[in-house]
Amino acid sequence: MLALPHGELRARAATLAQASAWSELAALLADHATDGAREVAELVPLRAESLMRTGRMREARAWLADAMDDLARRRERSALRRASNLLGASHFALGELDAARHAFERALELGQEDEDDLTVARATNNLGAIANVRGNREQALALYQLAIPAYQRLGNPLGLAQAFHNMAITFRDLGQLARADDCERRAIEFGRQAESAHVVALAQLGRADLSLRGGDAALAEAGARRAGQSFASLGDPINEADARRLVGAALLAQGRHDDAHAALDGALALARAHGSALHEAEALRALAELADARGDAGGARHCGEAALAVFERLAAGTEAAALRAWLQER
Amino acid sequence: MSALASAKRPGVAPRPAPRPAPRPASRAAADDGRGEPDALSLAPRLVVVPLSPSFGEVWAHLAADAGLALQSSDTLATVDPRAPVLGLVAAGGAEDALADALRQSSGQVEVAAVGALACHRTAVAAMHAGAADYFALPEDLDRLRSWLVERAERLRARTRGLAFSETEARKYRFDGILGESPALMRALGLAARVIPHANVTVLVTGETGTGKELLARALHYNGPRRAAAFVDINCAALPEPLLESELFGHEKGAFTDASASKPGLFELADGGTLFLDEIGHLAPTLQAKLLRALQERQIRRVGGTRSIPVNVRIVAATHVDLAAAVRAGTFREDLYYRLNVMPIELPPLRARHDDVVVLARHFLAASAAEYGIPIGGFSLAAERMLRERDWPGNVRELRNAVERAVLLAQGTTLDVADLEPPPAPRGTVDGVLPFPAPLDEIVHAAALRMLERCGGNKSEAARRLAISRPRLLRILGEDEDVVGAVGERSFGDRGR
Repeated sequence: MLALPHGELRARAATLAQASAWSELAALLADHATDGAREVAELVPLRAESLMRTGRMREARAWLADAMDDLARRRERSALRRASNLLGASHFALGELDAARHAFERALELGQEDEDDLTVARATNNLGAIANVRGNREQALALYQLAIPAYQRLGNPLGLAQAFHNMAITFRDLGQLARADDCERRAIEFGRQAESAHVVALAQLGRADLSLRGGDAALAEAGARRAGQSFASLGDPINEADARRLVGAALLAQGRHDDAHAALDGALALARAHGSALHEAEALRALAELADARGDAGGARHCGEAALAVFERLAAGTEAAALRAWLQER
Repeated sequence: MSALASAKRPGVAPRPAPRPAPRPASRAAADDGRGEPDALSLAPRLVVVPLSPSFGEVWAHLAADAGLALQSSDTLATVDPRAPVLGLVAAGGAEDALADALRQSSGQVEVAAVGALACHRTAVAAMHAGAADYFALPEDLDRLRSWLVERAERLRARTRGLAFSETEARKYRFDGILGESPALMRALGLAARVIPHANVTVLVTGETGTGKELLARALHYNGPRRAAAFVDINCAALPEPLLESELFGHEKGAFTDASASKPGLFELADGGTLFLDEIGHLAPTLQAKLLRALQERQIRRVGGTRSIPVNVRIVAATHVDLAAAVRAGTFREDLYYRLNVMPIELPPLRARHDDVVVLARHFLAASAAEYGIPIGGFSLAAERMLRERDWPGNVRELRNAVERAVLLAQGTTLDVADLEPPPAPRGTVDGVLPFPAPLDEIVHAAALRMLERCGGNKSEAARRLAISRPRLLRILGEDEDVVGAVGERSFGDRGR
């Protein structure tokens, strides 16, 4: 009987990946990095994913950079497509946007050549995210839009929900609130179809944000409260913190300062407890605005400077510059 | 759900029923008279044609690894090509017979050839005879397994795609479109007549918020192209060069950023429907290119030299009076006539007063169910107010107003006060206006927000802002004559 090489290793790795046991999988494949994981094409991207899922981005990037030439030489196209996309994701996570773009474009080209809709959709979505981070909003929209037919063909409502949510954020950043809201509605529709309570909650929070930007603070408050409850029941404290911050901002817009303070304090505590610096900074910024609205100049400066320090630490240049200007005016 | 309002509603009054839709038209295989594909009802299979007993024990393991059911057969010629099937013609010592066996099934299903000889000549002969690839065992066992796993996943994706389009078709059924007014019935009657004609271009007109996109989806998902993609693009959302690349695709190196070639939406919609929303905003150069695509049924990518045939139904929509735009010289007359083959006008909500309460009740029930809020209905005064209001933002505005009322209501019945519009923004707090922003940005944002709240109706927005329409257009950075995209400025606040 013919047998596949490293059959046991493959089977064990597949089981661990299916169970999302990423740490165990990373350890298993590290043990076999020189005697198995590299020879079996399908294990190359699997090892990279296990490293990324356990926060070891640099290791993942190095592993892929090292293994991909070999995959290309052996014409292992399926593993190569997946590895290219993962390489892009590791560069993206490390802030190496040019390298990430290059890797995603390679994945896209391979996907198109091999008529692999899933790779095409993922790579296009990821290229959209890079364009958005760089402020090329229209280009981001164009890329997200291209991912949609691919997800339709795949019958992948989760991918559609994510693409529409991404489009909503971009439309929002372009100031096109009605279109952004239409996209969030579609994200909710497909999120429900995919039974992803998480994406539904993200899109609901997105709609609450749009309500606030549209001047409807009461609706924003109600929507953000509901999204916050969803995140709490899903065990996602980071997004729960964001929802509470939005509740606080909506209450502040309604002039309900005490309630706003309680909500923003809650957001800050959650963000700090779970180590999300961005959400901490945003909660502090909102607290600065609240203090300013109350006529508490000292409090506004104190919270504003604390937020500024975190934004600067995160290299969030736009936010830092805007906040610095705001503080200078006070 | 879009603004026309669609619902699966039992007991809804009969609609002009579309004739039974023909089978999907896009691919050649769909027209071979064998009826609907059975991909949804069959598990993906691996059909093996063994020309010798060699390696016989391997096929079951490979099929199991790829999640395929295994079937042995004398030929692949009888397999329905639309069924989720992969083929394997296995020589294993009978390589001489390989090419003949492959030729018998050529063009039917995707098939791999397997032999015992790692011989270039055998591989080339097999592929000339129709094999997608050739694998020599035992050396290529791992490659063969990867080939099967990948192809099997594609079969499953295709099955999921078909199931997805069926789900979408159920969402956009014509008998779920709410309303009884003569104007709406006229529009739906026209739509029902055009549905079976898969190549007829449709121009949907109507004010913002009347449900043009929903009608376009209903045309697609109730028609013969429903198994293929519905691709929509808002022509006002992208600047001209990007929109050109988006519609027609581009080749690598076509412009500075084109580091990879990319298909456009025409190609991605192949076999399906391309919905061009806000077509009245299309720049003149793109109008010429679109006209050529419609006339020749083929496109050329930006920077490309090759003509690519495309098979799509075009549904275009606009709230702009295109005939007036033609007279004003801002829209090509020849393109207008190409698009205006079957015009369907959706009425504004103020012309459907009798439908308002039906729609509002539907939105109330949907929102109450979605948010789990026990609200039973409207007070009589609220229903009277709903009927009397003009609803310049049409069904979209009505839906938003009812949803807002459901979320914020204190009682179990919605009253007039619950349906009052939201208050004006209070000040420059996080998220409400740019943080902190120069005065011109605040003015721009305020104008933009009012425009959004008026559903894109510039005259109404100008009236509510108590400024002239030309002044509003100047604030928005648009000329009086050329209606540009709504709000293309970034406020510079954070992304999520």
